[in-house]
This record gives sequence, C-alpha cells and structure tokens, in this order.
Amino acid sequence: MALGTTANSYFVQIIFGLGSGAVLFLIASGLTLIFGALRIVNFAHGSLYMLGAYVAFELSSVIGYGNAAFWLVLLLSGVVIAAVGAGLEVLFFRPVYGRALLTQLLVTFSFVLIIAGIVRKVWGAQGESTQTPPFLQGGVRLFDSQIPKYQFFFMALALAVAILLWAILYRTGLGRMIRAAVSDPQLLHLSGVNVRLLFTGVFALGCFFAGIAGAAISLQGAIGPEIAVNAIIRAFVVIVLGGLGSLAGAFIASFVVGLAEALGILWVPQASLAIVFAVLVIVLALRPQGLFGTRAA
Amino acid sequence: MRICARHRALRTSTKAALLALVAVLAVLAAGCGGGNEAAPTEDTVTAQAGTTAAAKCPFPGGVVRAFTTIDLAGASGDLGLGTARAAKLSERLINEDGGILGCTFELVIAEEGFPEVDPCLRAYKEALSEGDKYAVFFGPTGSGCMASVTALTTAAGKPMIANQAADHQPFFDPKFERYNFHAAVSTFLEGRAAARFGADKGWKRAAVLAPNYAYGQDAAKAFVAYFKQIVDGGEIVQQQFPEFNEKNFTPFINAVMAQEPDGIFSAFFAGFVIPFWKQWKDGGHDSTPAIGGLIDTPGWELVKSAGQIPENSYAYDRGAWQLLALTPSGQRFHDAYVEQYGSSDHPLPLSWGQAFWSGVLMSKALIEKSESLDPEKWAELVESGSFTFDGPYHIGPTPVNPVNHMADNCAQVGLVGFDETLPVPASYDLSDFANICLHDVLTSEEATKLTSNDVGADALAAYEDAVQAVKEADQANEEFGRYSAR
Repeated sequence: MALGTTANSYFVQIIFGLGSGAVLFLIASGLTLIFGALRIVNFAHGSLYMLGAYVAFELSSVIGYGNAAFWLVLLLSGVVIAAVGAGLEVLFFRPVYGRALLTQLLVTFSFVLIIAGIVRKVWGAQGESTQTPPFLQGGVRLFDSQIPKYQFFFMALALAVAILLWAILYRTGLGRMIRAAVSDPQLLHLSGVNVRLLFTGVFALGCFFAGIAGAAISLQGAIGPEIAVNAIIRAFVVIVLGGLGSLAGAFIASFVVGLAEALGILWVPQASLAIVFAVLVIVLALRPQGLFGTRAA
Repeated sequence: MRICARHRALRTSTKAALLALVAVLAVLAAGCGGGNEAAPTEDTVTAQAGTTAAAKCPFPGGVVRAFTTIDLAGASGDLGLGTARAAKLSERLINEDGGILGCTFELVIAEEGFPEVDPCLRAYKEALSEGDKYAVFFGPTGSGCMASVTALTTAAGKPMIANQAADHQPFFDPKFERYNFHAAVSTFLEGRAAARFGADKGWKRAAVLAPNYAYGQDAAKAFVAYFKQIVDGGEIVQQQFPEFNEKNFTPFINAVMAQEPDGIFSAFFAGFVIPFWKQWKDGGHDSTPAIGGLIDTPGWELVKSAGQIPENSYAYDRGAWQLLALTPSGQRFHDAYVEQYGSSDHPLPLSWGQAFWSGVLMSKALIEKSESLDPEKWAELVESGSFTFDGPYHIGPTPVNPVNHMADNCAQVGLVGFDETLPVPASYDLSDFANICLHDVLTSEEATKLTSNDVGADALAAYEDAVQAVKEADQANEEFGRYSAR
C-alpha cells in the first residue's frame, strides 16, 4: 500500500481505472462479438483499432477539430474500419473458418505485422500528436482533483456502445439472425438467410467499434503504431476473463482490468500490469470458463 | 448477454492458445522479443574523398573503414533517418577535409532492426568476421544491442565508439573494457544533469515517472542517486514506471502527484512526451515543474501549437541544436545539414546526428594523434589524460575522461518554448536553460570509484587541466557561456 496516498488520490485513481476500462470495452466488445459469432480469434483487431486512430487523425486534418467535426470523425473512423474489416473478412479470414485454430491465429497475426508495417511506412514510427475538440478540453474538478473530461467521455461512450450492442442483439431482427447463426448456421442458411453476408456484417460491426475506439483514444494527445499491441494484450485478457464470447462478461471484465491496473499503480508501481494478469489467473483458477462463460461440455 | 453457443469443446484449447499468444505479445511489447527475421542490408555510403588523399595514407588500401548499424526501418525509424543523414554528412565532411591522415574515410551502415537485438548483433558479428576490413566500430542505436556488442568488439580486439545508444554501463564496472570509448551524451549524464537542474531550482521532494525499460530505468536511477547525493535532505517521494509504449499516463501522474512533489523527472522519449503533456495539463498540474523527457527533433516537430505545452514544462537533450550550432564543429555540422536537408521534413539536425558527428571526430583524432588503428594505442592516448578532440559540444577541445574513456560532453535541460520564427517552433526557451557537462556532475575521484581503471595521478591531473581549459573556452564565449552550469 502506498503510504501517504490520500483517499482523494484513490478516488481519482478509480475514475482513471474506469476510464481505461471503458476504452478497453470499446475494443473488446468488437473482439468478443466477432469471436462469439464467427469463432475466429482475430489478433488483428488491435491493429484495426490503431488504424482507426490514424484514420481519425487524417480525417480531423481534413474536416477539422471542432465539436461537430469530432462526432463526424468518430463515426467515419468506425465506418472506414468496418469497411476495411469487411474486406479482410471476405478476402482472407473467411477461407480459414473451420480450419485449425493455429491457422486462424497465424493468418490474423500476419495482419498485425502487415498493418503495422503499412502504418510505419505511411505515417512513420514516431507517432502523431492529436487534438481534442473544445467540449472535451480541460478537466472537471472533483473534490480536490481535476479529472480530464475525456475520461468521462470514454465511460459514456462505452455505456452507449454496450446498450447499442444489447439492443442490436436482443431487440432487432438482425440480432435474432446473428444469434440463430451462432446456434445453427446451416439451419439458418436453409431458411434462406445469407449466412456468409451475415458473418461479414458481424465482422464489420466488430471492426466498427474498433474504429470508434481508435478515434476516441486520440483524445489522449498522441497515437502511434505501438497502441495496437498494448490494446490487443489487454483486450484478450478481458475476453478470456469475462468468458469467451460474452458481451456482459467483456463489459464487467473491462472495468475489472482497468481498475486492477489503476490501483496496482498505487500499490506496486513497478508491476501494475502483473496485477492484471494475477487477477486473470486467479479468476481462471476459480472459474476456468471466465466470469460469464459457460462450462465446456 | 451471450452470443456464443457452439464449439464449446474448443474453449479450453482456445483459451490456452490465446493466453500463450498474449504472453508472447506481452514479451514483445516489453521489448524483449526474439529475432527479427529481416536480414541486415548494407548500405555502403559513397566515399567522397579525392584519390589524391589515398596516396599519402599510411594504412593498407588508402581507406579507414568504419562500421555501424542504424535503425532505419524499425521502431525508431524517424531517428534513424536523421542519424543516417548525419552519418553520411560526417563522412562527407571528414573527406572534404582530406580524410584521416590522408586516408579516405568510408562508413558502412547496416540496418539495425531496433528494438530487436539479434539482427543488430548479427550485423556486428558479420562485420567483425571480416578481419581488418573495419578499423572503427561505432555503436548501435539500441541499448539492448549496445549492452552486448562491446563484448564482441573487445574479443575481436576492435575499438567501439559509442555515438548513438547512450548507455553508460560499458564504461563503468563491471562492464568497462579499455577499447570502449564514449563520444555521445550518456544516460548517466542526462539523469545527473536533470537532478542538478532540479536541485538548482530548489527541489527537495522529487518524483520520477519513467518508462519501464532499460533507458527509462537507467535515467531514473541516475537521477535518483544523484539527487539524493547533492540535495541536503533530498527525497524521492514516488517512482512510477509505465510500460514502454504506454500512452495513458493519467493514473501514473495521479500516483506521483498524490505525494505532492516539488518537481518531477520523467524520462519519456519524444513521441511520448506529447500525450504526457496533454494529460498533465488536463489534470491541472501546470504549477508543478516537470522535466518531461528527452526531446529532440523530430520529436519537437510533433508539437503543433504553444497550447500543447503546459506551463513549467522542461525537457532535456543530448545536443540541443540551439546550443550546438554555436560551437565551431557543431556549427559546421549544423550548417552543412541545413544546407542539404533544410527544406526537407526534418529541417534541423537532431542531437543523435551531432552525437554521431562527435564519434566520427573522436575516431579521427584518435587515429591522427596515435598515428595508428590499434585500439591499444588509442587507449594509452586517452589514459594519458591529455587527449582532446574538436567535438561539437564545446567551444574548445573536448577532453576525454582517462578513467572511463567518456568524452566530456554536455546534456542540456531547459524550459520548453514555442517560437514560430524558428524552423521548428517547439524548442528551448533559452531564458531558463542550462548546459551541464560530465565534469559538472562527475568528479575524477568519483570516476575512479565507478570504473576500475587505474590511470595514475598524472593522467587525472592532465585531464583536470584539459577540463579547466575547456571550461574557460566555453565561458569566454559570451553567448555559449551564459548557459554553462556554475
């Protein structure tokens, strides 16, 4: 325990943990959606998130940095990454559905390296500094501290995405088809639904959220190629901790990971990431299927 | 919500595979990964010297050939570009002056693949296996490679002149080797210079926020130890080490600021200083002075407006262009760079470039003064204490510490400003700026404790004389001298 750390600093740290957890959920939601529906472990998801950040950077330089422009950039980044994701799914990932897990991993991991190479070639390795729209500049004073406004934005965005996903899956015909495809794709196909197109749509939807997450993270002030690997490590911890394919699990686990890391910074500064993995192994030891996972048959 | 219902039997193996891959990625992210399969590609820089020079050369072939690796395609590719430009420029400038003892100076550059260590070491091994083809080896970009490569050069009986990676370990116990020479600004000096700067500002309670890899840890260690040594009652109230590549610093900033330090030292690299500043500013910490990290072009180029820089933001440098353009050899390099690249994306020389130039000048002086390519002769020359060379960090000749073979170069610490009239507007505000040299933060007595290399009292006295001479020369120059540490 960090002696001399005040209750106020704990409060602030919890807010930051929730903010980090919110960003994690934005990434992990798409990842878990794709895994849940398509059973493909998409290691390139973090790279698409990173690409979303660069797309947002480029769009901002064209559209501008105002409040309205920010929302447009956020949306367009998601759309562009969804389109890229759909292209990848159709051309490269679809052929490996049903193949050995290792094959899927290698194909998707290849795109981690390919996208990183493209980004370094186009934008350089140094990263880019990014700007914040006026309504998210500065901080909010709470108790004795100032919390950056974008931390609250991250939380609100994560909540909105969670509600949107829930609504899509459980309150729309599309959601019913996705769930049906997950349960028995052949039966759905026989009933006249184009399952291939549906899977492409699910993949694109997952990538859409990755693009939005990338655009959102640029609020922190800078982006760089390295954010891809940082994100995918934590995102996979989230989806395993929450239970593979479980959106509710991903939501809870995102905040567990965010809080564990933030509080770990106060308690064991040199090993805060180790705290995250410690939480993971303890949960898996007690509940191998993850927090919201179901036991394997 | 659950959308996954099939292939449940796969879950255990899937989870295991996922965890294994996440672990591999975590190791890669920590910069400890395995080999990069990209084969090093050699780029033999075109020799510029005239053939008449070779006729007088005392060495076989009329050429003094040097080898180095530079990270052109890896994670620090932008720095690598500037360094490669500096390498080519250094070669050209040396040859324009008639080469080294009349020999053509030729520099061979191999791709380093930073942060991977294996391709770098492989490149040096291959170069060393070519016998006497290379007379001089300049250090690599990466600290990881630098930590290992001196063992190879020493075993081969070749000299290593560090002029990129700034690590000090090969110059202190237990890694010191007599054929190691340091021509750049060491991490040790950077950390100590920052501590000295904070102490001069009256800090009593300092905190550290450094990236969790070799460079950040070394800089933090140097700062912490020296701050405690020179500040009476000085205290390090908190140390935080975000993972390398982390860009969300808010929780770390909060943990540091909870201890209410007088100032903080951070060892972020340029690209990471920008988000640090933003998050620092958004957290309302402007009133606390923060030495934000090691900034240099092209890092300065990332700063687009004055609004990005919090108040009381400081940075440190291993060769600030504003200062080094004032020294004779620094100015020569600066002007040549600007003439050739001034209208490019990176219009100013970076400090890595000046450090590289420093290494080339040091090698030239070692060869010319010893009239030999034998590193033993070079070591003897340096250990006499009187060896100097015309490096870019001083107005006068640069002494080299006879004990640890480190050039008496200088790090700069200063307030960050934004002046739109400059080629790169983000730069140091020279009204609050200090140039702190190795002799300012390392006495000869302490040097002998850090490095077991008994050179005798006469050598130390000769070195002290050389230091005194360069201090006087620096301070005699009104513009340059005003920044010298007092």
